[in-house]
Amino acid sequence: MKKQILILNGSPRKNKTTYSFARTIKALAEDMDSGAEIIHIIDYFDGKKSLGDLRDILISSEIVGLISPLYVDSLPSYVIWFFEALSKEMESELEGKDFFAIGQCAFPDVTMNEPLLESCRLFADTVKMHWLGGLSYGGGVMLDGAALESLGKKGEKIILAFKMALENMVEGKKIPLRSQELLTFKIPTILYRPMTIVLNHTVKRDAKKKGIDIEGKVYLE
Amino acid sequence: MKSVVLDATENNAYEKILSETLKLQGDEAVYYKLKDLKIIPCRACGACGDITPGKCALKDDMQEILRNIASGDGIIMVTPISFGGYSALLKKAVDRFMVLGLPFLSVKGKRLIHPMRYGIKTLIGIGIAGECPMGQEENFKLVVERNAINMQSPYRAIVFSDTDDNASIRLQIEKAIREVRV
Ligand SMILES: Cc1cc2nc3c(=O)[nH]c(=O)nc-3n(C[C@H](O)[C@H](O)[C@H](O)COP(=O)(O)O)c2cc1C
Repeated sequence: MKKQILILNGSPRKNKTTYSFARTIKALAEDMDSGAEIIHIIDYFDGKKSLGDLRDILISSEIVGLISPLYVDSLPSYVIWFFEALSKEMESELEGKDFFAIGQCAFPDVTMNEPLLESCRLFADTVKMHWLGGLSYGGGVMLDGAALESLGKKGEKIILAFKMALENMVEGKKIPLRSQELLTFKIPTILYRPMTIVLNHTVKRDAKKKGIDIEGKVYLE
Repeated sequence: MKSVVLDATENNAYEKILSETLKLQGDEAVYYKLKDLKIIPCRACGACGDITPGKCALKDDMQEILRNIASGDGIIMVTPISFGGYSALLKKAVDRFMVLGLPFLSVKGKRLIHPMRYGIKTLIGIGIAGECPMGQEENFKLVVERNAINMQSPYRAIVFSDTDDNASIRLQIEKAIREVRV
């Protein structure tokens, strides 16, 4: 076996876009004769699993990767909690291992995930892990947890980006720039305005159909 | 002006400085020491989108905080810096800010943003740097800036170290409070 990879799901939702990315990476790793395991950070936060249980998994993993949604411009609170706990309790288990991260968010602009990825790099530095780099995906909300294989060309590009990243990482190399290029789709900013008009119209129309007031100032009532 | 302070530090050092500074400006300060409160992290249940638009379904102390933010003029956050961002304790509260935005999109500069449901609030982020590696201060400031862009807030981000003296902390906080209001 080439490498054992531990994949951390940073979303509180166990079956959505973050998980879809995680399961693809697991399958790709297995195709490359590597092993992979996915754990959900929320289980540790909720106390369904203890950090102690994680010790053996960490010891047997050579690469650890976080896949996380972007929450209010940075890592979700669960992930920060997990990083804080790991850096206090598991530093020696983590030291020297490889670490990578994938951030995905609702907005299409991949630069939105920059602060999230930099926090992951800083975490790796703090616990003396070896930073293999990060990837950013914009528009994760549109995938809504769909299996990447079912998404046609769009899914194929994401799978290829992950495959190239993994091929390099199992060799101890950094994620190549080409992986990020494959994940980046640039919507010309000139299209933003017409896009918002259409989307806002749809949101208003749907709310009207459901008979709900989406503009209410509920916390002033 | 009414300012809501979210203090995620362990001790009371900043409470004294901030309360006194805001009082001097003639402000009303609603001070929350987050470690003493029950704040449940957002589980992305989606209720604030579809079921009770703009209202979070979680029943905890964040409901009162959100009411004060909605009726207030500014938010001040104080936190130890965790990996170049907010500590988990502060981020539990900040992740719940989602309901402050409307479900529409608009364009600001080259970015898509959600217009604010309760108008524009000023935003001050105060980070306390530990012995973390290089880059934490810059990333902390970037996180505050990104929050401010999304909330369309006039903002300041300040970073202190454990060794900074109270007089200079006070001066910088006073300056930030004055500057975001111009
Ligand atoms: C509390 C919260 C905050 C969010 N903040 C942002 C944000 O700042 N920018 C963004 O583009 N998307 C934001 N999102 C959207 C998620 O990043 C996006 O929907 C992601 O695909 C969710 O991943 P999941 O399906 O694996 O849970 C936020 C979602 C939630 C629930």
